[in-house]
Amino acid sequence: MIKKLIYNIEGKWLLFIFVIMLYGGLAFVDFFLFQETLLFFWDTFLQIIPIIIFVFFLMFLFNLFVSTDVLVKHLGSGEKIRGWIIAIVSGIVSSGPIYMWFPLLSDMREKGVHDTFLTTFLYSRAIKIPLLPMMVYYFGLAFTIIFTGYILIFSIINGIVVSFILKMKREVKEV
Amino acid sequence: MQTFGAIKMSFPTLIGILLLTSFIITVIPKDLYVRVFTNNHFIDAFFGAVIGSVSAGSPITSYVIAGELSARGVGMVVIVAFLVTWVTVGIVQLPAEIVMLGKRFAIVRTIVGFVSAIIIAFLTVITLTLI
Repeated sequence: MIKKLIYNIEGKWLLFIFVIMLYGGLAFVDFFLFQETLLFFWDTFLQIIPIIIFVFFLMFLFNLFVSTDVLVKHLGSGEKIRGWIIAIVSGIVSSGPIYMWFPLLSDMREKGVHDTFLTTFLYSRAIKIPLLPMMVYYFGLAFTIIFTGYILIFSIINGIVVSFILKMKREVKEV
Repeated sequence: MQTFGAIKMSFPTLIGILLLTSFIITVIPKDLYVRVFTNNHFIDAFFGAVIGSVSAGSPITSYVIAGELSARGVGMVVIVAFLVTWVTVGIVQLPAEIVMLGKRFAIVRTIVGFVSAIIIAFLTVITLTLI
């Protein structure tokens, strides 16, 4: 019965219900920590509202102006240099938590954007231009340059490897 | 209309992940990060990557924690692995990634990202020693 109920609940609500239960448990064990966690949640929520609005606005514009043909032309195949550049640059300049970008990426994939570029976008997010001075302060200029260089290289490698594994899995399934 | 549908679909997941992130940040004690390390580079790099993967929050926090770890004598390999996975690998966010980008993509990307972080950690330290 419970198994059937869980099966019928969509993934998005399953996670939500699980987290609510977690909070319920925390309230029961340590009410002070529960309050602290809720306050932290609220503060963070208020902070990310502009990012949520920005991402959803971007999605709106994206759906309105960017046609599937254009996307497939530039980001549909995992081999074009322009695609790498777009994925890396947009990954670097994207701000806010990673999960805020999942809806837009899901939308882009539905329009034909290749997994290679989605992976590259997500990995290149490790480079945060506004935070580079902080990295220099803590670990030095040489470290920052080397670190950033490797992230750039590995964001491309990740894109290739992930897409290769997914393709391999698909082929094995088909056989 | 299409955008509205996407917002409706992703909102419960986003709020769920934000609640989970807040839970992890406030419940996990900060000094736990320092306590788990040994003196073995490989094991420590692995633990550094694991902690970065399960941690959540702003990248600024990761820099502050990494700075603190460095000040307490934790090796650079650990710090790099920790910094990279903090942003690129999200175990806490994995349910959201699965819901929105698919199970296979999310899992493969997480594993490849995790392994890459450890490789980057060693390469960074080796390069730093060579120059």
